[in-house]
Amino acid sequence: MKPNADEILVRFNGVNKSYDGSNLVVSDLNLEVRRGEFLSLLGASGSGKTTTLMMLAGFERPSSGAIELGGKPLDNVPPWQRDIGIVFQSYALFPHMTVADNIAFPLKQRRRSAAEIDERVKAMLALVKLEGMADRLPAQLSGGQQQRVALARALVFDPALVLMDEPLGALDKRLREHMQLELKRIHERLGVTIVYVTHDQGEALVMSDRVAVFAGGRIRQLASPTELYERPADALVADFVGENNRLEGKVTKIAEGHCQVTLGNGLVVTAMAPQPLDPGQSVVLALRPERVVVGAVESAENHQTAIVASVVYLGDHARLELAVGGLTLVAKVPNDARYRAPQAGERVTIAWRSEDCRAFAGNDRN
Amino acid sequence: MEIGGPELTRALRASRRRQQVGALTLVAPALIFLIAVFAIPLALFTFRSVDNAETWSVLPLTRSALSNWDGKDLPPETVYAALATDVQAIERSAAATLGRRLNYSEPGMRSLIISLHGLKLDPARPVAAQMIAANVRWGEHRIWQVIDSESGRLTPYYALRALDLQLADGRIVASSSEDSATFRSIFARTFWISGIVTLLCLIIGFPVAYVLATAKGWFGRILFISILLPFWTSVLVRSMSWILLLQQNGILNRFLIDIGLINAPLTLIYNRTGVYIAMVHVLLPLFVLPLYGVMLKVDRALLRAAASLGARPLAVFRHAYLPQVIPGVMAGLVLVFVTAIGFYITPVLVGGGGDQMISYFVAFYTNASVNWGLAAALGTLLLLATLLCLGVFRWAFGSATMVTGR
Repeated sequence: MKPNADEILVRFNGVNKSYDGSNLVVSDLNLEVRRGEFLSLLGASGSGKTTTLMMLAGFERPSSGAIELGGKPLDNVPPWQRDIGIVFQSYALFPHMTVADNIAFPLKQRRRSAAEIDERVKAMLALVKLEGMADRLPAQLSGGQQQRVALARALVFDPALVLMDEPLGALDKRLREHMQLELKRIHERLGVTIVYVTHDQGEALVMSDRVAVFAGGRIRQLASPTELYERPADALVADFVGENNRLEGKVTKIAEGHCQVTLGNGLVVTAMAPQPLDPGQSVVLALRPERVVVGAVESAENHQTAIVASVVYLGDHARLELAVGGLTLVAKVPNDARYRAPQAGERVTIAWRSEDCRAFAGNDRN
Repeated sequence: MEIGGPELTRALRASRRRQQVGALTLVAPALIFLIAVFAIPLALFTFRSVDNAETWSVLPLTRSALSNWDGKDLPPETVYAALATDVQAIERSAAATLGRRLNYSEPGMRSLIISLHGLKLDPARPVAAQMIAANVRWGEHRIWQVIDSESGRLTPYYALRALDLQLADGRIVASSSEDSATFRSIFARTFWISGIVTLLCLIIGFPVAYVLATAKGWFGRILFISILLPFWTSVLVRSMSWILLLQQNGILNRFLIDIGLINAPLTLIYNRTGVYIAMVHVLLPLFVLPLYGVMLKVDRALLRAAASLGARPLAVFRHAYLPQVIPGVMAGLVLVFVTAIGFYITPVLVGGGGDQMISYFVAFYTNASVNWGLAAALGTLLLLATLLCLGVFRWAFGSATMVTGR
């Protein structure tokens, strides 16, 4: 069954959540999850992403607003009737049950036949590559293996929706990267809808079809990874997703989606203006380090003279700190055949295109 | 391969020894205290349950004379003479003690020994004939058998007596003592009362511990203090208060009559009901506190996981909650049961004659009847039963569980 890509599986309608009655942890949340997609909720701790997940799972009730799953309201559906698989950060495996019993648990709760349970558990063990581990106890497994068991247990009963709450947080970097690809493989193979909570922007970019960036209980931007990185909606998203140079200044001229900004040190640069801006307004400029080029570039609107303050060699690229008239800019220069990384103390020309530099209203600092 | 050679090995060993000496110095006061006031008295008292000093030390001549007796007929003249010499060589009070001790095994021995102590004997005539003339029982074979079997250094008498057994003609048989206290049924009663109390603590204490572990704010604090408060009050005070509450004309009965629930007062005290009520009250904190500690550490994620996987609340409880708190339940049960089988004051104060537990009889034989050997044997049996309970628990759940409840 090929899921219809445009079908909406989950819908949050004006959902608010407050624990103490005055502070909103989640405010006016409107979010649609499409059937079959991998959607990440990305944000720092306290941004409301986990609360959103817990409301969807049924462990928290919205203070107001409604959540629908498959077109039906979830208001009075208890967690055990929602048919949503969850992978917890701590894995939450039952310590007294074997791997096979853990995976069989949701099927036993649904009173499936022994033969079906046996067959499904075997298939799941194969899917997560844990054949031969069926009779082990969770304590006898490594973190990565426990993670796979938790995944198998959340998938075995064919839930329409699987929620994951920072499931890779406890793994080391190499294993985490491996599991990211593994999760992506399983997602593509099963076509299941996944809502994935993480604070790791790299993880969100690698796996997701779409990413919702949370801050202060609101979604700041909901877009594909490319869109998010290339065209962040505001300075906060730009800061949160990928590395960013943040320059503050005032708008001096506006023309056709572009603007001229005078920085604090008097330098004048041109930038894209995705939001409507007024002359004289304070703005924040966001400029990716890899878009700062050392040397003159014909097509670039912005050229500055800079002193190389420091060079950090990182193998495939070098990271430069550049002093530009009292400001510090970070640039990443590739380590390739055409390119020679400058030395510290050298005076260089740097350049960037105005479409790589985006201006956002500057009062927006949270 | 030895890295660093023998010097290094020696240095490491010396350093480890210094550490051990240091640790020993730190625990020395506690160790000395425990040995002096606990281990040594306990060992001495336990030894009393097999000690036979009362007869052994006062009958040296009789013992050596009896060693030549074949045990078939009446003993020869030398044995009669030796016993008379032994008994008449000691103080009258010592003779009374000897008589009382032998009387445990054979009724009538006490008066026999005391009269022998005062008997004027003619050294010219055979002692045996004079003794039998004074009391015909000296001519009974059984009397000499008792003296023979009870003159050794150690005696199995008390240990057997504590189990309602005795030694007769070298065989272990049911006791025929005039003392009607049957200890086996008292032990059974002790375990039965302790078992019921433990069960009641489980039924009452489990929900209380659960609420304590989940309650927040002022409600949780008040509940916690109300559970702990009896724990800080002396057992004596608590048991006495139950008398005021439960007696015929007590607060509870008057209240029940006033609200019209009953017509005549209920007998709630000086019977088994009173013992159960007071013991459960005294022991409840012992069950609730370890369980509360375990329940606080319950991993809520496991409960959520179970619910998300389709388990209804009852199944969540059974599969995700109970397995996590079972060690705490077991720790509480063992703590309550082991404490209950040693209970003394509460049954004495609020129980009737048929509700007294084994500790009461230990106290009775220590203070009232001054049969320390039997008291020691009963106490030792109680100690062994307690150790057995702990052993079974340790075997079933591992030693760490008992201490930490984990």
